[in-house]
Amino acid sequence: MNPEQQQFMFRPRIHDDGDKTFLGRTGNFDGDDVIQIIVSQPQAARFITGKLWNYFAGQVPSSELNGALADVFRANGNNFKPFLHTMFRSQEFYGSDIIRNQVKSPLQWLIGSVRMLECDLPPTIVSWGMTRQLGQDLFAPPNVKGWDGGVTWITTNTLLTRYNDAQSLVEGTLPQLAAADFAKKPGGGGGGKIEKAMQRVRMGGVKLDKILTREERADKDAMVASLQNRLFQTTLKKDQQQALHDFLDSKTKLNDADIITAIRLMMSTPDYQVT
Amino acid sequence: MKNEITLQTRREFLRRTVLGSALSWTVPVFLADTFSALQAQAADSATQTITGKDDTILVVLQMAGGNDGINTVVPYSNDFYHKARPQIGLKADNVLKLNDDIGFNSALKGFKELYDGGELSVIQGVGYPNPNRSHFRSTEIWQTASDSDRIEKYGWVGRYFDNACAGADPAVGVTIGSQLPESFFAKHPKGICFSNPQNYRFMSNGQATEDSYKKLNEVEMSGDMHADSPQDDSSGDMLNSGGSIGMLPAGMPMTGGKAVDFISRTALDAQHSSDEIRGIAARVQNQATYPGSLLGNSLKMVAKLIGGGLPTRIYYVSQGGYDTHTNQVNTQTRLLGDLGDSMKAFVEDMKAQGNMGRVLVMTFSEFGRRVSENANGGTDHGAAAPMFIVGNKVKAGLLGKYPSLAPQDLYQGDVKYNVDFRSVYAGVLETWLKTKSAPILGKKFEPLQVV
Repeated sequence: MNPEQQQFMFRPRIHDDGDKTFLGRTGNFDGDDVIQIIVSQPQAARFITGKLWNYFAGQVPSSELNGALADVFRANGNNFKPFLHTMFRSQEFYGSDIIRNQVKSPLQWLIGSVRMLECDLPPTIVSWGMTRQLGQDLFAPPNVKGWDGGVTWITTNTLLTRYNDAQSLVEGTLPQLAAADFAKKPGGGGGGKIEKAMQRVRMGGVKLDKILTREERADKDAMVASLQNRLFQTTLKKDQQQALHDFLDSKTKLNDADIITAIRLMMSTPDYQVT
Repeated sequence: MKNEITLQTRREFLRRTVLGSALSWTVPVFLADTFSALQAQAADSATQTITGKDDTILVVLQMAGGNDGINTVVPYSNDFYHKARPQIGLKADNVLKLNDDIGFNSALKGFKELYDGGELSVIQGVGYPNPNRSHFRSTEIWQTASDSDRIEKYGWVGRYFDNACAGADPAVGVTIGSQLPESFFAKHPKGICFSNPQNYRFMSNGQATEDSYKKLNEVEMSGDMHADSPQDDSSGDMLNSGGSIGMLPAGMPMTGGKAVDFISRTALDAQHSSDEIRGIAARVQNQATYPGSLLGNSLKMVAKLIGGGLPTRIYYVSQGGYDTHTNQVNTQTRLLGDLGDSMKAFVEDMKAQGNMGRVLVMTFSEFGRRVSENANGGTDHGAAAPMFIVGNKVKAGLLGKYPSLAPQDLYQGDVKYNVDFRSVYAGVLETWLKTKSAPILGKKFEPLQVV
């Protein structure tokens, strides 16, 4: 293989021109033939589409669904684009067990949050520290199997850390606690360099006029509705909405800092951790 | 019938339902599950239901990376040993002798003192059939107590919680670290974990924020039961939908409960335990001097939590770095020194607290290492190795048999196990945690009498 061009190289001097048997078929195969034989196995389509479904829908598909997905893939000549198009537009993809039932990975949580809040991704050192503390040390999975994902992202520890990191993100404050913790290396080694680098970091925070209109900021109902739609694409439970209103009502004059805290509170819910 | 339940703490709620108050339909699914599990438990008097503050405690200590058991419990007078390890083999004057054949690595002074005091047992040659030399797979086998050719979804500690601790306080299992070990994975996950008690809290900028956070997280309605929830509206066609993929019966089977239910319960556990743990961390003083290492700090924390009366049955701590492919002697000396000293300090602390009789520490590592050293002054992944159990009621001394190092007795260069680690788990479960081991370990293993 030539990795740069994703093509097989032909070396006539060491080429085997004889018959070869592969997965029950015999012939004078070259590399492309072998790949063709692999992808023409019914199991290949099941495997690939099952992985894609699991990645986007957050669950291992049932056997029936996996079969249906594989059929769509094969019917489209094993092309990804039409397959994904069908998958994303299928009723099953919006089933009640899929929608808002996938735990966001730390990366989904961080990038999803900055997209929804229309703010900047924190500087690399902070983004790294946050995702690492939340259990996803990028490019360093715990083992060759990778992260277990799903509900295993959530422990009492990582959940509180998500809630506190939300504060750093919206307020643009430095996650000092995170700094103290991720500076330590396993084995107890110090990380003075990291601590110093952290002191130079400046965080942006959320800009309210980007995400709320003047009218929404003047009307608490409209503001909560708008923020719910932005952060959850659905409504929170009644008691939770009430809790938010109670918070906003507790302020005599609603200033930006209070609205920002309200956003942080909305992100500090079980509901915000799923997508 | 609508029965409003004010949830002050989850523990109180469970206590009340245990006492038989009616279960209303407003109770979320996961609590209902817990309740039915409790009833099943009540029918089986052999298992305990609620943890108390006088129960026995198990501390599981993971030595991650695959500790070289042969240079830990050293067969210093064995010729095969010195032949296989000309560079890193330890001579007789460099071990803490247990008898004429075997001695501790000299870094394990702490262990030697405990051993001499009758508080440490060495279980020799522990492993499992068809050993796997991959870190993650072998760790998985130890964590799930599975056969090496089977994949288990849940961990052995998790199955202990599922089988014997329904309705227990969420702090029944405590992991010092940011991630839950696989052994804690359970059908009804329990347990809390944290690395630093100071950070283990919701950071708040005022009372109103704090109050609101609590209200937002104490709502325990399951998505399934929530009438307003859009996901219940299964009849409505999504605007974006391009139609069914086809061949699917309506309503696919659920693979499990709603993710948000699990997170809600974790949020409650986090909220309640964070106050409790920070309180204990501030209130309880350690009464021994620990090494300043990660392990030392973890055991220090465990000691505080025990002293503070947390109703925990299983604590989990770990120490990493045992993957000694190169320059093993220095690394292992440092790690074992830390292990022995931390353990010694922990035992002193427990004695000063008066809790030594309640506590048992069990160590494990995913595998031992090969009998022969490699060319880099290290050792590669192997198989069986010793486990250590510490407590004042243990069967102190050497248990099991030292595996033979004779070349003809080795399997692909590794020693053969003679105690299955699941017999050790079975012994700990039966004799220490007083519960039946077969439902937890999947089958009957002869319990090793560890106490």
